[in-house]
Amino acid sequence: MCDYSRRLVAWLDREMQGDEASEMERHVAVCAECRNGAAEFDRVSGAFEDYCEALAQTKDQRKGIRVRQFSGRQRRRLCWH
Amino acid sequence: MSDDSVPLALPLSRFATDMCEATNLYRELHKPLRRYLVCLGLSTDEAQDVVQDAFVSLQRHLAANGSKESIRSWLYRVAHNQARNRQQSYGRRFAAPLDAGVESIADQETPERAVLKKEKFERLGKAIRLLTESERECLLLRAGGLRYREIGEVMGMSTSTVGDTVERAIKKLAEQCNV
Repeated sequence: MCDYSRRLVAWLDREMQGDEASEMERHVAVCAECRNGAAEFDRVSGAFEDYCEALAQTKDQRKGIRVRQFSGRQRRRLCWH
Repeated sequence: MSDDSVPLALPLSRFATDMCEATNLYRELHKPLRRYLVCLGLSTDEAQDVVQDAFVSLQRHLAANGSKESIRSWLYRVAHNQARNRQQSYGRRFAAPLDAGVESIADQETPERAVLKKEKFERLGKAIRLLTESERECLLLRAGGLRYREIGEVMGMSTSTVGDTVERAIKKLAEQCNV
C-alpha cells in the first residue's frame, strides 16, 4: 500500500496546506493507486452526504415538511487525465 | 414563526450589530444544523426546537460580548449538548446517530434508479451501523461542512484525532460497501 494513501481523505477535504498539499497533489497525479483511492473516498463521502439528506427528508416527509436539499462540505474536485 | 426568521431574545435596537451577525449565521447554518440534529436521532420537531434554542443562546452569547471566534463550532456544540440534555431529561436512550431507516427517494427518479439508490442506501446503512459513535458523529459534522478543527471543538477532540477518525471511518465505509 502506498504511504501517501493514509492521508488521502485529509487531502480531499482540503485540510492540508502549503507544501504538504502541493506534495500530495504532485504524488496523486502520478500514482494510480492513490488516484483510485481518492476517487473511491470521494464517492463514499458523497454517498454518506446523500444518505444524511435522505434520512432527514424521510423524517420531514413523515411530518409533511418539504425542505430544499442542503449541499454538504466542499471537497477537492477530482479531475485528471 | 417563518423558517428564515431569527428567534428574538433581546431588543433589536440595542443589539443591531449582533442581530445582523446572528441573522446571517441563522440563514447560513439553520438547515445544516437541523439536518445534523435529525441525523443525530432527534425528531423533526425536537431538532427545530433545539435549533431555535441554540440561536437564542447565540444572541445572548454575542450580547454578552462572548468570543466571536469559532462561532460555528460554538453553535454546533451548544446544539449538540442541548440535544443530549433533551434526550436525557425525557429519560430516553440517546438514539445512535443515523440509526434510522431511509425511505426518501426523489420524485424525479426513474423506477430503476430509485431501486438502485434504495439498494445503495441499504448497503450504506448497514456499513454505517458498524462505525463507532464518534466515527459517525465526526462524519456527520464533516457532512455539515465543518473543518476538522471545528469538529474537534464540538467533539472535544484534537484536530489530528479528528483527521484519523474521519480517515478510518471513510475507509471502513469504502471496505464495507461498494458505492
